[in-house]
Amino acid sequence: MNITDNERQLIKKCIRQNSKAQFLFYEKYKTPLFGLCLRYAKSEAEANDFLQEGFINIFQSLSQYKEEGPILNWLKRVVINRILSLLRKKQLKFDKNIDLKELQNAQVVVNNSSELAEELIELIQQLPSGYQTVFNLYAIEGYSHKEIAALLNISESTSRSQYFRARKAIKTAFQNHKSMK
Amino acid sequence: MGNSFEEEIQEVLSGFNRKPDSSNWLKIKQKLTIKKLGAIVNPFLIIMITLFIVIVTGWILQQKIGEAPHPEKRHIFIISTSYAYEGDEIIAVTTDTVYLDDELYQKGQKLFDRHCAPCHSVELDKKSTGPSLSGITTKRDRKWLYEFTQNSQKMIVEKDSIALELWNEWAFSVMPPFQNLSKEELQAIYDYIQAETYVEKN
Repeated sequence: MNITDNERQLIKKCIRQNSKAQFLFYEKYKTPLFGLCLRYAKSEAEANDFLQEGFINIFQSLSQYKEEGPILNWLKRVVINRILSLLRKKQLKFDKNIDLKELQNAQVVVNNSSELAEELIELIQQLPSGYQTVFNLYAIEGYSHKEIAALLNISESTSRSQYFRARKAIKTAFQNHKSMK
Repeated sequence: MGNSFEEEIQEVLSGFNRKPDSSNWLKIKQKLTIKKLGAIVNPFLIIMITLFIVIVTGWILQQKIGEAPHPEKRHIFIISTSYAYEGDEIIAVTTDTVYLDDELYQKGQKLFDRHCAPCHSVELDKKSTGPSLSGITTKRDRKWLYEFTQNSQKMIVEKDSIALELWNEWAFSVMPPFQNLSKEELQAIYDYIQAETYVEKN
């Protein structure tokens, strides 16, 4: 997936801090990146914060983009790194004793209930923050437990057990939802 | 299939789209502007501060160089006195050549006019009731001068050789004691005398 000349021009202008180009760039990528932010956030407001901070980091490090692979993947990585640094400040909790039973039976109230994805995101948001982060990184972003352990400064086995429990809870709840449709 | 669940949710999420708040761009722009300004302001500030220091140093140097060859500008002169104390007592006094500022000069002049001028002159070899004080600071050390000024009679009683000699020379008339003059005031007076002597000689 090579990027087009137009895209390359746009990136160059963004690096030169042309604010019109930066706006176009933001408009182009805000939707998929906001979806990502929502998964890591507890609320829509927090997701908006993540998106703002993420884009600031994007514009500041855009000159380091080497065109290795699709740009959206690179953008996602930048945003995730920013989100993780914000989450680390909030002290993620990796408490083993948190009961996830409640979540498994949770009735997710979705305003726009037609969207399966929205329901899934609502479920993910209800996970305790540590579980939520590990789940996102492993199941959706495809990071390995080794990478996650390094990123979150936890042991690999913590990452594994957190993921295992989160997966079980989400899977059960998600299956229940689907069967209810 | 162990990964079926992950694949399933990845697929569910892949089509997901949600528009963020419309106010986001404005906030991003604001934050970017602040960062941009910060990047410009910091080097700018450093340059300004450096310029300021250079200009001020230059100005001070120019003042000093400008003043030095013009001793007729009487208020900037060549005196600095340092003391070595032993307890409360001065055991050594050294004077160096530096600038005496206007304020100190005027302080010395005022004190001299009030306490010394009735009997002494600072003009060379002009005797009045007492000897001329022109060049006195090079003839005697400061410690002796301060003690003599504060209480010359005591020094005569203690048989200080110079005090006795002066006493003889000046027909056994005694200089009144100025015990209420502080060390700082004495210093100001003799600095003034030294400055005046310098002017006269140059």
